[in-house]
Amino acid sequence: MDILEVSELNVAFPTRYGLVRASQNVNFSVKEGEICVLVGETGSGKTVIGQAILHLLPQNAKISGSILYAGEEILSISDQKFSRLRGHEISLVPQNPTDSLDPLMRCGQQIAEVLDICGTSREDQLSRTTSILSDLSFSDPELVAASYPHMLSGGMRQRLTTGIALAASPRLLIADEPTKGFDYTARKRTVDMFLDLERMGIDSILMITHDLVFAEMIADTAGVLYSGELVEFGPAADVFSSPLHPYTKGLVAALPKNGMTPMPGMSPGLARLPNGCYFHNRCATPCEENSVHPVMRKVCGRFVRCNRC
Amino acid sequence: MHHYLIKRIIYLIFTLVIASMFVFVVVNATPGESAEVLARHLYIGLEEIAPPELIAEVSERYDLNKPILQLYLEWIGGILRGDLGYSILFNKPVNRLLMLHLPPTIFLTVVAMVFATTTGLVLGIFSALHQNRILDHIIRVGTIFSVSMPGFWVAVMLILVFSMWFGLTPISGYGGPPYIILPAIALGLHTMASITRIMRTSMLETMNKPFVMFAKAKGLPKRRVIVSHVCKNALLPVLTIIGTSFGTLLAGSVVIETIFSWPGIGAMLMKAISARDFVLIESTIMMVVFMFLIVNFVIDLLYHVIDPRIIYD
Amino acid sequence: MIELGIETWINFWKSNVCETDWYYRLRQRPDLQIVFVLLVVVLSVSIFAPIISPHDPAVQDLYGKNQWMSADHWFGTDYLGRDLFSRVVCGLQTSMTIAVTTIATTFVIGTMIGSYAGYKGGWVDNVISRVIDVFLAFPSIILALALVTFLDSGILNMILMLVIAQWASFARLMRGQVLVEKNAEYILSACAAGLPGWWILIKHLIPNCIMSVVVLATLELGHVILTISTLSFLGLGLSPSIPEWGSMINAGLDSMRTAPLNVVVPGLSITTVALLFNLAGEGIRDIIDPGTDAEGSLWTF
Repeated sequence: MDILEVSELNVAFPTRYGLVRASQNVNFSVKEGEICVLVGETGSGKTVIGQAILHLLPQNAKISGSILYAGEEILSISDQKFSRLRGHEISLVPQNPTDSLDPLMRCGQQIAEVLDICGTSREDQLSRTTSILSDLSFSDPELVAASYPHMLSGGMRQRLTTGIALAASPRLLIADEPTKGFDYTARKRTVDMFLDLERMGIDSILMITHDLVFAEMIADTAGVLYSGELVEFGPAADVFSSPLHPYTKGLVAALPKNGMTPMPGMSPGLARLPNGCYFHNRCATPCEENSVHPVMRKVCGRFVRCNRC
Repeated sequence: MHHYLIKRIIYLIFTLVIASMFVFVVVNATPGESAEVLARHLYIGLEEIAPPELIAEVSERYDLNKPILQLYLEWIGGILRGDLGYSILFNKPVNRLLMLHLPPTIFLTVVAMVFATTTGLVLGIFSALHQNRILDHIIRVGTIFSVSMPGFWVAVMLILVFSMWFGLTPISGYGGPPYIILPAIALGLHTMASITRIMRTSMLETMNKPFVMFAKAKGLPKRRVIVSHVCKNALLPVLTIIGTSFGTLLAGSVVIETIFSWPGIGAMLMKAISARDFVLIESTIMMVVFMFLIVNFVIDLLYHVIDPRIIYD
Repeated sequence: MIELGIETWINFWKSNVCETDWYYRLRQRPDLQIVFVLLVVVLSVSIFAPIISPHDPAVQDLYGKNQWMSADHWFGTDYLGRDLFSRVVCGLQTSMTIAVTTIATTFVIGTMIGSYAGYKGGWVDNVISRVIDVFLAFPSIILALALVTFLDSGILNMILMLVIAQWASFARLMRGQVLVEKNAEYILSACAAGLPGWWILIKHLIPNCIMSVVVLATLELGHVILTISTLSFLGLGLSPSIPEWGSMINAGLDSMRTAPLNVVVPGLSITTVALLFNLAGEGIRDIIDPGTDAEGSLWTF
């Protein structure tokens, strides 16, 4: 059963340089109980997808397509209706934990706030906050709850933002670049934390990251984004071990364990996308029909957007 | 915290001492001329030329011949004992004069401040929440005009329109609520406009911060996001402006009081300056400086209460 | 030999000015261009005031007092029958002379003291900061009132008075800017490269901090014009014979019920000039630092 089904999602921003098509015809789904990871480089439109699901896009964004959450359309419903889903149905672990915490509010209060809108009583809020914090392996939950965000370390802040996201026990968690700027140890801890979330009643996670190593460690299903398009989507083990799309191949080849072979060229700007295949000029095995824009096709149990496959 | 507090208080006292020396030197720098002006104001007409004997007598009588250091020490000694000196012009102790004239000034300043802060915050928040709509544009044009108009002219125009043409408010004087409306608006308009502008910018800046987006993602209703996250954070830069504008308002009250015949220290100070009643000038100015510094001191402490990130070093 | 013909200058202009970011942003802001053009007009009018004013601002005509606007008297006449337009133009000259000189002087003094304090640090900074604190403890009009007893009225004394009242805010801003920039990477690397201190101060720190002081100076020009008119409205600082907007308003108070032009015209003049400087100051800020420009913000409710 799919908890989240995104189909034909298009997001564009009008700017003075023209229309920036941040996301084009994106189709994917997250099944209940699995961790789905979307991988892409900076500017491939991955954050926009998360924001579109949560209705957090700026007002000038032009959005089309459909997003079904548990079989219900959520893209076209009003912000007011949607804000009831936020928190206890779909929740977000933000990209930058340091800037995502209100500097003037005590950490405990920032968790309790979420419980408050769910109608938890004041005494319960306090005990719930403490139990959430100790679940996230904070050694002294009371002290953390009473401190301000600037007193915590980077790793603690991330666990705290995760705690806030979990407070109302959502069914789907969207994590936006949870390992941005982390070193290996911190990344390992984050992996453990996310794998541990199942114990806390979170079963479906949509993870957005540029970190391929992290994605490989954690993902059940994986999608690869390039220039606003999904170019490959399927079971994570298949995608990372035997990539089909040349971009995915290039990414995997660029991993340290595979010899760090860099890919040539740059991705095209989202405002000036070519007509045909976006990856053509960087492709290691270019085909003749590059003027035809490739469509998503099902190949050996996964979806690939390539004219060759 | 205590360490910081003590340091701030030492700075405060230091500033007051240096400021008092500065004022004293400036006001007493030309004793000969002061004696002449005083003589004209006290004994003969303003247009007449004072004979040298009279100037000498006035100098002798009001201690203008004494060395400046001695005068200063006497003045400061008096202040430390709670005696601000004796006004030559009004023939009364300065303490009594201030007791009489300070309350109206404080009343006017506080009313203007309350008007400026509440209206400024409300307009600023409204303007930010309705960014680029028609009312936002109107507020922005209105505020930039308001900061460009001199306060005394606003006062004059308000009198012309509301008192003279429409007859809605009294032209000048000190009394019930109708008397305070025009002076408070004239005095507070400039501050109100600058608070509006800063609050608007600050709100817009805060609304773009990631923690506000996260607050929305947490599921908080829009109203709650604005009230408990955006407004609180946006208020911090406005706090500084409120402190400094208290000084602007105190200074502005000199002009506004003169126009509206408001019996505050402003009008008294103007009389004292024209008659060179130096003790009254010095003590009144130091009173204003003292109030201004105290308000800023309190605002500074308030910062430490509101913003936990500030470290006491 | 290098030819310094007009071509060279055009090329210099094209390569050094036209390609800068702020030039590009200025091109995007027609409203700001209009403000700058109007400022140039105001400046020219103030310079050529005696030529522009159609009447002698001091000539009285008691039979034609308090006239409404007409072809002969564009803004009408005042309570003594003097031509208001000529008086406003001459008042502009007075205000602009005082304001521009004041700000230029404060700018130099404030920048020098502030950058020196911020750069030197230690006890020098401490002493200068305390002095700045003392001057900032006086609301500017109050300081001017204290100085009036000491200085005679006159344009030069007025300038001196305003400089004493204003320099501290410039010094404080410059000091703060230098303190921030001082710890920037490029300064550290300049120090590491062994450049002498005065070189770093003049070549790197001051140029990088100066723009925010320029913004303050533009905004303060408007502010000083308000202060000048306020003081002369109170009858302080300038002798009554010099046409000045503040004293014009004060003189017009008695007849304003019947002849509102006496107070409206000079007041609108002050507002217009101050408004232009305020708009220009904010415009310059937007141009130098687009980050503070809230117009371009994406995220709204």
